[in-house]
Amino acid sequence: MIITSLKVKDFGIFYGSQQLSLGPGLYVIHGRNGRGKTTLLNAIRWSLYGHYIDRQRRPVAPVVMLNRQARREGTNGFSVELRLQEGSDQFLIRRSQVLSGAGVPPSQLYIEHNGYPLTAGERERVVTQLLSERVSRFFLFDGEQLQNYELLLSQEETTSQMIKQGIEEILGLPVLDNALFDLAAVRTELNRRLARQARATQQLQQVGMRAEQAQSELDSKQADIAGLLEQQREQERIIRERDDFLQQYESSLEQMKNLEALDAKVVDLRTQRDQLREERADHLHHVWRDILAAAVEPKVRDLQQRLERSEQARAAQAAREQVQRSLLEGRCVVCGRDLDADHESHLSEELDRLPEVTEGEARPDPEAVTQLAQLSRIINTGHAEAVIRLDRSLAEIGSEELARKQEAAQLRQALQNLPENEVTHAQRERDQAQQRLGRLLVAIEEAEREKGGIEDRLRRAQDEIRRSGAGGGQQNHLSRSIDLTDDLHRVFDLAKGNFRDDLRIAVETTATEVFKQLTNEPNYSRLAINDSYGLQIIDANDQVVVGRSAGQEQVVALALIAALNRNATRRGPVMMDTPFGRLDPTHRTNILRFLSHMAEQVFLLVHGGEVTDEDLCVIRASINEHFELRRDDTDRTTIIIRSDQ
Amino acid sequence: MSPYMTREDRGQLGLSEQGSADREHIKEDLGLKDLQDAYRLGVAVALAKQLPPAPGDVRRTTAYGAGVLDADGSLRASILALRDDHDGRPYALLERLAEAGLRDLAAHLNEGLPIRQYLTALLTQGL
Repeated sequence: MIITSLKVKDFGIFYGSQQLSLGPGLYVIHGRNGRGKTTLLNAIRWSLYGHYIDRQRRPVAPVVMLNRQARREGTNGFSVELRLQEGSDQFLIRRSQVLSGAGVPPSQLYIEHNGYPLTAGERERVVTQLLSERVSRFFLFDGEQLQNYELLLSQEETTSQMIKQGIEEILGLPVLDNALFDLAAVRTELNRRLARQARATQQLQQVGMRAEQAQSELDSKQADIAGLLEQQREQERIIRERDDFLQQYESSLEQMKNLEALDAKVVDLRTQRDQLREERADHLHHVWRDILAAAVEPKVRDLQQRLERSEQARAAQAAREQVQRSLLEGRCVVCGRDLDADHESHLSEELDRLPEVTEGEARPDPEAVTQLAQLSRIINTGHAEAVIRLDRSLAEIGSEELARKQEAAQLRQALQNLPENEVTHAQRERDQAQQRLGRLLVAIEEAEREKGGIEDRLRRAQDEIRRSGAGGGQQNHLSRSIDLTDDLHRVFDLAKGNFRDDLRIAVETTATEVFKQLTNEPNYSRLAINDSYGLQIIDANDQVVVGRSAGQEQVVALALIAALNRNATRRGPVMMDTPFGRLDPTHRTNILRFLSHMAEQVFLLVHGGEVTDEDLCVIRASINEHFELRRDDTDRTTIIIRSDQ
Repeated sequence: MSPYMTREDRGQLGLSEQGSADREHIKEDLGLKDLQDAYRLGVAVALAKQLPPAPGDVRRTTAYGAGVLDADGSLRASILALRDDHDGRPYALLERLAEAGLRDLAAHLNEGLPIRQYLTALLTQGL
C-alpha cells in the first residue's frame, strides 16, 4: 500500500489547503524544528484513527489541532484527506472535525473504495485492514521514540504482549488463529449435533441428555470465560492507559518527592538557624564586655607596667639606702658584721651600679592602682569568640538554606503544570484496576478448571455415544467429522507454533542482514531474537553485547522495523520523523543508503541539523521528491518542492 | 545612683532619634533580646574604635538610668581610663559615645556585612 495523495486543511501549522501528490519511492521532507514535520505524521495518524498523542504521550485535543491563523479568521474546522493505493484498489479516506461553540463533536470519517462510499460499519474495518492502529507504530514512527521499541519488548508483560501481538499481526499469524477459532466452533456444533442425535435414540437417550447438558454448561462456561477475558482486557487497558499517562509524569513524581525532601530540609535548616540565632543572642548579651576588655587591654598593660616600674624604683631606692647606711656605719645593716676594706670597696661599687631614683619615681600612684583594680575586672569571657563562631555557622546554614530554597523554587516552577489531582486519580485508578485484574485472573483460572471438568464429562458422554454405535450411519458420519476436526485442530495448532518459529527466524535473519548494513561496528556478528521479538546484539565471540548506546538502540529498532516490513503479509508506507537524532555520521550515511530498500514508499522527515545537503548527496539519485516546510510566520507553514532536484 | 557617678554628671542616658533608630536596627538585625545590650555595645564599640563622640547639642530622649545600665561601673571606668575628653562627666560622654558606636555598627550591618567581621576586627586591633 502506498499513499498517493495527502491533503491537509487548516491542520496544525498548515494554514489553508495544502496537498502532496505522491507515488512509490523515497520522499525527503525537510524542515527546521517547529515547521510541522511531526504534524504531517500526526495528520496521517489522525486521519486514520481520529486521535494521536504528543511526545509527552498526552492525547492532543481537537481544539489544538486547528490552525491558529484560521481560528483567528473565524474558521471552525479542519480536515485531512488521504488517497491510498492497495494493489489495484483505490481508497479515499477523509476525516474532518468541526469545532462549535457548544463543544467538540466527534470527528467525521468518510471513506470511498474504488469511488464508492463505504457505510459507517465498513469504514473502521477498512482502516484496520489497511493499517491497524496496533501495527501503525511500525510504519509511522517518531525517531525520538525509536529506542523505546527495544525497551518496550523487555518491559512489563501487558505492554510487551501488546507489541508482540502487533508484530504477529503484521507477520500474518492471526490467519492461523482465525482458523483455530473456526475449527473450535465447528467442533462445538458437531458435538451438539451428536448429542441431539443420541437423545433422539431410545438406547442413548440418557447419555444424549447428559452430553447436551454438558455442552450447554460448556457453552455457558465459555461465555463466562469470554466475559471474564473481556473484563481482563478492559482492566489491562486501564492499567496500560494509566501507566502511559503516569509515565509522562514519572520524572515529575520523582521531582515532587525531591521537593518534599527539600522543603523538609529548609524547615530543618530554619529551625537550626533559629536555634543558632537564639544562642548568638545569648552571647551578644555579654559581648560588649569582651569588646570593652579588648579596648582597655592596652591601658591595663600600661598601668601594670607603670606600677611595676614604680615598685622597681622603690626597691632600688631601698637597696641604695641600705648600702649607704652600711658604708656610713662601717658595718652591714643586714647581718651586723663589721666591714673590712674589701667589703667597703665592694659596697662602693654596688652603690655606683644602683640607679639613683627620684622621689616621684618611687612614690606609689594610688589613682593608677585604683584604675587598674577597676579595669582588671573587665576581662574577656569568650562571648565574642562564640558570637564569631555562631555567626559563621549561621552564614553557612543561611547559604545552604538559600540554595535549597532556590532549588525548591526551580522545582516548584517545573512542577507548576503538574495536574496533581489527575495524577493522584490515575494512580488510584491504576491500583484499583490492578486489584480487579488480580481477582479476575483468579476467577478465570477457576472458570478454566470448571470448564475442564465439564469438558471431561462431555468427552465421556460423547465417547459413550460413539462407542455404542446405536446412532447408525449418521452418527458414524458425525464421529468421523469430529475426529477430522480434532486432527485439523492439532495440525493448525502445530502449524501455528512452527509458523511462529519460522517467522521469528525470518525476522532474525532479515534484521541481522539489515543491521550489518547499518552498523559501523565490525565486531558485531548478528542479532538474536527472543520470544517477544526483542533483538540482542551478538558479538564475534558469540556474546551478548550489553549496555547498548541510544544510537545502537535506534539502529537495532530500525533493523527490526525493516525486517517486519520485509516479512509482513501486508506492507505499508514507512514514515520516519527525526530518526537520526542519536546517530553518528557513519550510521546516518548507512541508514540513508538503506532507506529506499526499506519499503515501497518511504518518507523521511528531517531537519538541517540532522541531515545536511551533503548527507543527502549520497542518496540524491533515489529521492523521488524533496519537499521543504517553509515558515511563513509563527502560525503558518507552506509545503514547497525544493528546486535542488 | 551608681557610686561612681559624679554629682554634675548625667543620671539618665538617652539617644537621639537617629541613635534610637540605629539601636532598633541593630537589635532586629542581630536578634538581641534587650535594647540595653545594643546601647552597651555601642559604648564598647566607640571606646574600642576610639570614635569621636556624637554631637552633644541634640535632643535626646531618656532611655536608661546610668546606674542600671552600668551597674558595676565598668563603662564609666573604661571612659575615665581611655578618654581624656570626659571633662569629669563620663556618663555625659558615654551617651554621645553610645550614639557614635551605634551609628558605626549600624552602618556596617546596613552594608549587609556580617557581625563576625566587625567583631574580629575589634578584637584583633589591639594585638
